[in-house]
Amino acid sequence: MSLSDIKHPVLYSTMTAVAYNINTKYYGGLHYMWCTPYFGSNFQSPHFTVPPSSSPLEIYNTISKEIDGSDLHGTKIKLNRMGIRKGAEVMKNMGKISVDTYKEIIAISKLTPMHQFKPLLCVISRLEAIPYYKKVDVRDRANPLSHEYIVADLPQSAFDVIRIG
Amino acid sequence: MKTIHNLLSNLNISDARSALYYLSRYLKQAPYYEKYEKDIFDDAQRSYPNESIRSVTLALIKFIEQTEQTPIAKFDDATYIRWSDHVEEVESGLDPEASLAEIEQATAFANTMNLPSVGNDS
Repeated sequence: MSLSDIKHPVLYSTMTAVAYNINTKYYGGLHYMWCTPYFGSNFQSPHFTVPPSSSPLEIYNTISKEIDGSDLHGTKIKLNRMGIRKGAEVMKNMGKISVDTYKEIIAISKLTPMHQFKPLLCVISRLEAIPYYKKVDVRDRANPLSHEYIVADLPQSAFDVIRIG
Repeated sequence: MKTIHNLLSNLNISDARSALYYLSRYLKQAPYYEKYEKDIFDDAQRSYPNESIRSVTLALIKFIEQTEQTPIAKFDDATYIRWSDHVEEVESGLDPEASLAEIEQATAFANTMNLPSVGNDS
């Protein structure tokens, strides 16, 4: 189901402050994010159609716990470091950043301390996001069970940022 | 611990990084892929994985499951963390060591990061 076909007015996504700053400094302030119309409060509801690991609230809380040390074996920030490197690889291959910039981003992803990976909750107008909807639906599903959407090159003007707690 | 290095030997850094990225996604969400009809390779057009990335990713999954004699979807937390850490370690090691200049740039970036103005600030 396309982003233009759902009825929810708002989409949510959680990113880290490091990813936000990389997007701002190196990618022209344009953001790539997975988002969902479900903020993440009731996993048992039949209407809640993203897995817990994709819930923006769950991701936000998981990152927060890793930063404050209450989750000693967390993997979320490591995965975020990997995602930043994957993103830099894509941007380099597209010719949007130089090899030197790519190397700089790789170093940032590895050397930036864990406490800098603060979670940020992005609140996105669905209508604003539609032009930036880029997900390839490989199965061409008419009604996928998991409502997750990729938006790419989303400008800062299309979303607001909230911190919880 | 058996390592996944050998399965990556025919890939360039970019493709190896992609394969490890999709593997890490699967490790994280394996219990949900079937239930929610998710596809491991869902992605934006510009980063959609080529056939060699897809086949190596699937080979990596098969290797890990054969090593553990368990589907990844049934891993306990300790097994998941062990493999997730290994994948991140291998992926992080794909690049040459950062130069002094790159280290200085990365340090300066971390020291000058800004948090965006938040909704309740405006």
